[in-house]
Amino acid sequence: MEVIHCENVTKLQGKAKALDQLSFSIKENTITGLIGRNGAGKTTLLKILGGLWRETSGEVKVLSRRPFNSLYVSENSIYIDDAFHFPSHLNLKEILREGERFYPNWNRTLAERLFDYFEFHPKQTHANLSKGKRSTFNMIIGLASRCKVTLYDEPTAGMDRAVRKEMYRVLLKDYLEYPRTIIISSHYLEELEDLLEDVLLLDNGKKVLHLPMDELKEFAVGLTGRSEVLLQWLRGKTILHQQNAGPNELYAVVKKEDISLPEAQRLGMTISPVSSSDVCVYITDRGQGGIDRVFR
Amino acid sequence: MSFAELGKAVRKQFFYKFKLFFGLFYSLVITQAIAIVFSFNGTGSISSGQIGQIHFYSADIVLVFTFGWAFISALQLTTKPFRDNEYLFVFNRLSSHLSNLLFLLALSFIGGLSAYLSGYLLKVAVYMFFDFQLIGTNDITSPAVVVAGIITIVLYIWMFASLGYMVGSLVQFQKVFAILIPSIIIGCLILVALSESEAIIRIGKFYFFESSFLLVFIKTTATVCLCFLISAVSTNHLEVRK
Amino acid sequence: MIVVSVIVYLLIFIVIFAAAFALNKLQAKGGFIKALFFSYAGLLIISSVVYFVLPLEQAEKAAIKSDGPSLYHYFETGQTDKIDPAFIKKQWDFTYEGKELLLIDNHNNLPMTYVEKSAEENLLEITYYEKPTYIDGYNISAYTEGPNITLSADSLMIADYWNEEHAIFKPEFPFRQFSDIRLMPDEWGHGEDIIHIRISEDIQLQYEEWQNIYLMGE
Repeated sequence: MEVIHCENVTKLQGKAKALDQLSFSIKENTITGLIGRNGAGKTTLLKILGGLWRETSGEVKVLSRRPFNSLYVSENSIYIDDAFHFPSHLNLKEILREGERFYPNWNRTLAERLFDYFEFHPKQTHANLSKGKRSTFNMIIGLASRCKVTLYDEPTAGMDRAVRKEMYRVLLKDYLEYPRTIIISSHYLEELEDLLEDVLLLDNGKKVLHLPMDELKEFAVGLTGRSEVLLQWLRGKTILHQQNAGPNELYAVVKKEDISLPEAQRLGMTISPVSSSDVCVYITDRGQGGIDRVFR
Repeated sequence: MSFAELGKAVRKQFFYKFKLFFGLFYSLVITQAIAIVFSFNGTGSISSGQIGQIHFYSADIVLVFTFGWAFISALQLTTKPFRDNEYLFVFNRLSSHLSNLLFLLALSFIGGLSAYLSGYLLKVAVYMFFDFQLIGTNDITSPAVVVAGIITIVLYIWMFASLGYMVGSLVQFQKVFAILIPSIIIGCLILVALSESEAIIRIGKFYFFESSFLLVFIKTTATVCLCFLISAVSTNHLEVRK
Repeated sequence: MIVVSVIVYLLIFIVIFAAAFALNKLQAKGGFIKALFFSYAGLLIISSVVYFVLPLEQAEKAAIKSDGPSLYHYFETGQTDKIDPAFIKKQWDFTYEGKELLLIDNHNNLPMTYVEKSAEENLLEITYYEKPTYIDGYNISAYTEGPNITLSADSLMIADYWNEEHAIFKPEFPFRQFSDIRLMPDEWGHGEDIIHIRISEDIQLQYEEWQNIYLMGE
């Protein structure tokens, strides 16, 4: 069953298109990673899905309803980001209590256990938390609410590595126990690899890729070989990324389906796997050469 | 969206707002305290050589200040920081407006009741701490009039609150209202001051000189409904947590 | 004038509402707000209870007594003995042995004062007549003391009672709206008041031109 369905969704912000004719759909009970560079439209998309913002055109359906102004979607979805500010005079325990009042599937035990595990003090206020602690607390809200659609926008911002890992483990465990549809946008794709089932890659408000994680891992290969041979052989094929790997040596990343690996081996090239996060970076590169081009 | 669902969300938001906007009670106390101090010289007074001075005490100033408090507080409900806090949990715009309508009514009830009782505080303070010869009181003896008066106070405050809510919503809708509305209000006040503009005085009389309780009730609630309708229409497309 | 007062009120309003605005935003501690609010509520309730046990008098609309001719009429015609003694509010009897007496008042605000010369020696007799002033149905004169007159070595001091302050408690305007009670009377009738000084012929009374003083029989 499709829980989220977008068709030709465009969002204008001023004259700029934050989302541009975006179409995709997400099945029930999956964890999707929303990947993209800064300004790719990740936050815009999540806020539209959460019903906070309104799409300019196109059709958005969450749980078969248009999310904007839908009470049903609001009750069954939650959008968590690092600007998730709570009223400053409510302490953390009171915020949890409010969450419990609002969300029908709220899991109090989980909320309290996580609250204690991450050493929050009940009387603390949200505003006084450090950035990482605040993100942790927001994630606890997102986990405990157990909404059918849970949208995390950079949920781990400011967390240290250890907490990030723990948080992802919690997320996975709770997901297994109580399956739901989760979208996570993050910069750190490597850490998410084991968690995600699908990846939706955005660039400039457009969909670039929407693949299962396993396919993304196999999406591209890196080839290292003598420059002339490599360039000759790759003529006419899309080179996702290339850089010098030594004197007369070139490293190039290409789509796996474009080439034949045995042939590459035969030509004496070294074949290396390309991590999914590198793939995402290469695909959304602003032209060949990346930032180095600025200094050329 | 069923009616029951909406009702449930409105109820939850209503109680949430009490926790969220608890600071409003702080400004209520401060506003009324200042108004009571302003009232110590009497709401009106007359004097002559033969009789000395006579001060007439009532909590009129407290009421007027409470109107202002309601206006400002309601206006603030529509501003970004307040709205962002409000829209953290389950909401849609309709449920938000409805819960605001009820929340402002509850605020008006608290503000109105305390403004009414502050009249007694004022009078007891004057009696105990002022060296005035007390001539007498003009208490309302008819319980019906007392009840009607208290309800009227609440309705007036609610009306000012919904006016503030409408102004705030219009400003959220189009920033130009942020300049337009204060200009209109100040312009009107100057107009009243300079030429005692008939039209504006008539508006005042329309609401505040009405001696029929039923008509007061109809006029104020109709105004409230109109204000909320305008607010709902103007913010229907408003995005939150920008 | 009205422009100034409107501007002043406007300024006060702006200041207060700016303060209210700031206070609303102030991240005051929830506990403090609760304490403040509930103590205010408690104070309100206590004072309402206290108000109803205070020995307060309800206003009773007294019929305004306007019987008889004006007090001035009696003085102008010299028939002071015919004035209803009920209108005598205060009387002073002094014996003064000097030859000259200076009349002083404290606010240039003497009531109409009639001086009557008498053949008796060392006489200084002062009577204050008052027909009551009614405001809002109250006989205000019942609450006023009348002037204070004191004799010193060579002067007679008539202190008016401008400084007396009175209070009337009124209901708030939404209550007045539904009843015939008003905050302030639109107009009120001043009762007449007259000071009558009887003084020996041989005492020279000195006073200023602008003091409201008339010699009887002249």
